[in-house]
Amino acid sequence: MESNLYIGVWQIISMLFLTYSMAIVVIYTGMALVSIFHLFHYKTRNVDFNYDFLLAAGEVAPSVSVIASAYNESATIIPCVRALLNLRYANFDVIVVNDGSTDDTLEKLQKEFQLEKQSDIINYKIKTKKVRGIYRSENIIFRNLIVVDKENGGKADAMNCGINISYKFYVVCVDVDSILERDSLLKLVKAIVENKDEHVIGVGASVHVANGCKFENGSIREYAVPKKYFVGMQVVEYLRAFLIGRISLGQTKSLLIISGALGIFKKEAILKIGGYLTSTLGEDMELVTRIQEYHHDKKIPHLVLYIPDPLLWTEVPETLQSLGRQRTRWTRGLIDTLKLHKKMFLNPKYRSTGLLGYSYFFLFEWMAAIVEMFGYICFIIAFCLGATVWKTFFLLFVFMYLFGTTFSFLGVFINETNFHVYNKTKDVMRLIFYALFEAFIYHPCIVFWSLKGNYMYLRGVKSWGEMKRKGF
Amino acid sequence: MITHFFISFDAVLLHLIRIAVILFILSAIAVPATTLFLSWRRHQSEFRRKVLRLEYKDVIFGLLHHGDMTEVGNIKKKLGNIEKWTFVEILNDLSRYFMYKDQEKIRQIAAVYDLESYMLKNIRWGQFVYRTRALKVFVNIGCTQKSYPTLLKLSESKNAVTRLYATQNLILYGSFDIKKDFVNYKYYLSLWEQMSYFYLFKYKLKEVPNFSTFLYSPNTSIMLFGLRMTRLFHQPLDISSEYEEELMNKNAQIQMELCRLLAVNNKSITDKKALFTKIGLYSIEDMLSNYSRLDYMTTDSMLDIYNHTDNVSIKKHILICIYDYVAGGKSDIQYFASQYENGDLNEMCRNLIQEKNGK
Repeated sequence: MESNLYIGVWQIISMLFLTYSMAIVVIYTGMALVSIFHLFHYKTRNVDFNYDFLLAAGEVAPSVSVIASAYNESATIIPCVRALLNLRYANFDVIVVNDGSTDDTLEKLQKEFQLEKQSDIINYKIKTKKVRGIYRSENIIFRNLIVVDKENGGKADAMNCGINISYKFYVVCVDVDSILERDSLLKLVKAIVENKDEHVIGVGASVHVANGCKFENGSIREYAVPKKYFVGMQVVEYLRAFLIGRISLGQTKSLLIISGALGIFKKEAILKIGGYLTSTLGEDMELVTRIQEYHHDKKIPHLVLYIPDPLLWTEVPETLQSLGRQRTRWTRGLIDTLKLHKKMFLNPKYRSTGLLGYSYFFLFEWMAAIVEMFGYICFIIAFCLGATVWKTFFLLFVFMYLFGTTFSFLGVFINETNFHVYNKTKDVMRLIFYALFEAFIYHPCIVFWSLKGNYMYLRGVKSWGEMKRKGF
Repeated sequence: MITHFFISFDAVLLHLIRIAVILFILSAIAVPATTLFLSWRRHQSEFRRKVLRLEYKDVIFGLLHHGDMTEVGNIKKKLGNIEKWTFVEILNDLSRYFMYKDQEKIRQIAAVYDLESYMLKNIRWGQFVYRTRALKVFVNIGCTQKSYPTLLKLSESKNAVTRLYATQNLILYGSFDIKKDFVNYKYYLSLWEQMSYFYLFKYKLKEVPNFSTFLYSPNTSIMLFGLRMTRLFHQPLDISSEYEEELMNKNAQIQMELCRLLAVNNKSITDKKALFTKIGLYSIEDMLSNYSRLDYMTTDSMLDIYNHTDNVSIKKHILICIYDYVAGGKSDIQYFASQYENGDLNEMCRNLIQEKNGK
């Protein structure tokens, strides 16, 4: 009688795991289908698109401020700011916020761009750390560059400061240590003006891995897939996340995140919610979630869009240590956002954002690692008790491996067929090779860091962690 | 009972998983194989097109360079049968940089291979990519009467992209009367379409029409279009003050565009109270920052707006704008601050100066 009960409980646990796995398979397959259909539509709509008219009609084009925060970026700041100033758009300025750097970031900027301190008054629409000075260039070539020097307050605080300074209608938040494609502003703005202007409050785009590429004067000369295993794995991961995950969430109007490395927002929408939250580690996700929540609460029609074009190239961690730090930070940021906006969970008031977006991040982004860990524990218990059905185990293992690998292959396929980012077939082969082995070393590491992130969150660890960059 | 259920369920499940594994093995082979094949094929076709482009460019550029268009027929002798899309792409790229007079040369070259019929075939085929491409090409290389019925039909299409390019063709080569037909235009004209038309008017039309009739359209997007085009082409705003007030009360977008247009025309806003009713606070601040940077803005014109609002935040922002951007604004603010009167302007100016001095 008692053994029957144990078997029953065991069976129920197995069923729960199986249900969860099947839900993942169904959701991810659905996401892949949505992405493929949307990409086909997007590609056909934008065939041979000529952006010249956006440049020609500069006076009608929405005005944009590109805001980049810099903290101890002395090594890369000059080519990166030059790249920002070289963006193709008619009506924009670049605001670089020096977030209390302890190195010579500000001095380098002053010297390179002939900056002079101005006496502007800052209208602190969002409360930030004190601004020490605003600098503008004496040289007319750099007339659209504004450098703000402020006390250190973190990335979110620096972004808020830039938003206070900006007098444009849209703000583009970028990482100063990344490389933007020259047409990125044109493509982001096109997504806004295509729709009824007032409704689009945010647009995100794909971020790709810059490691392995060759650079010249702050722009990419040759695109290539990195040779290092852990860096290459991140390329596959980014392709999958951006070209399948984000596209489908954007299409179902349930996007809760626009990458902090690149996103355009209607400034008024950010000001209404009080800007970036400085007390969280996942400020980019928190901002978008809060914007969505606010607009749903106030019943204001709004759209948060995602365009699949690869517009930004970022340097990803090359060492295990810094990758670990980044991933634990992402997990803590995710938990923080989910906790802050828990009322959205399965709440029909928030429509697809609450029903789909929040649930997706809760069940499949946050819980996935925890469920996987319990799965391993259950497997070990079953193994010790001799209750493992090896045939079923191997079959399920092969099934999940094949599913994950096919999903990664799809990311590579979408990238190759739609954007032709990598010019050599050798690079495509390399990506396929990485996708084949992702499940063995890389994935367990990611699960471990995610669990560690959960543990750190429970312990109240709030540190950001350092990442050493090689620069471009 | 439960155990029995699970055992039979397990058996069914096992079969299902077996089937799924086979399916995924096939997809795990098919997806990367297709990716590699497509990558290889793309490289092949890119190479072939590159060679063809060089060959076609040599002949076309040679003809355009020497300028004797009587020899246009020789193209066919030199090139023989061509891959039409590659040829069209070159002409399309070239015509972007050609103004209306030189456009004729492109048309003559296109006529040698009867590219118009080829494009029409693509349009009638109905596949969106080919149809859109062909319509865009028409805008640049031109079309004749035989395409008009098709273009007229497409100008009523539900798809905004198709509609836009079909209408652009009709404007350039057909019967679309900009002044009359836009006033009664029944579709919403997005900002993207408006910008696209602006590009067309500026670079492809011999004469820019007067846009004032657009302001009387029942379609608000056309009104906006009219306001924007009037501003961009520096046309005078010719409306009565009553109608200006009526427009001012339409919606926030029209209000903002009208304010911009008035600023460019160096006119003051008749109904200034209306300025602060529709536009959000942050948009007003942005708008004021932009205005104050215009060369001809003076302290008086900014104070004119200041006196028509009770919102302290906007008042403060106007003073900041005067101080930071208006020519001579800094000394004006210092003058107001030094006048020890009880008015809020003097008090606010004193606070502003204190803020500037970091107190």
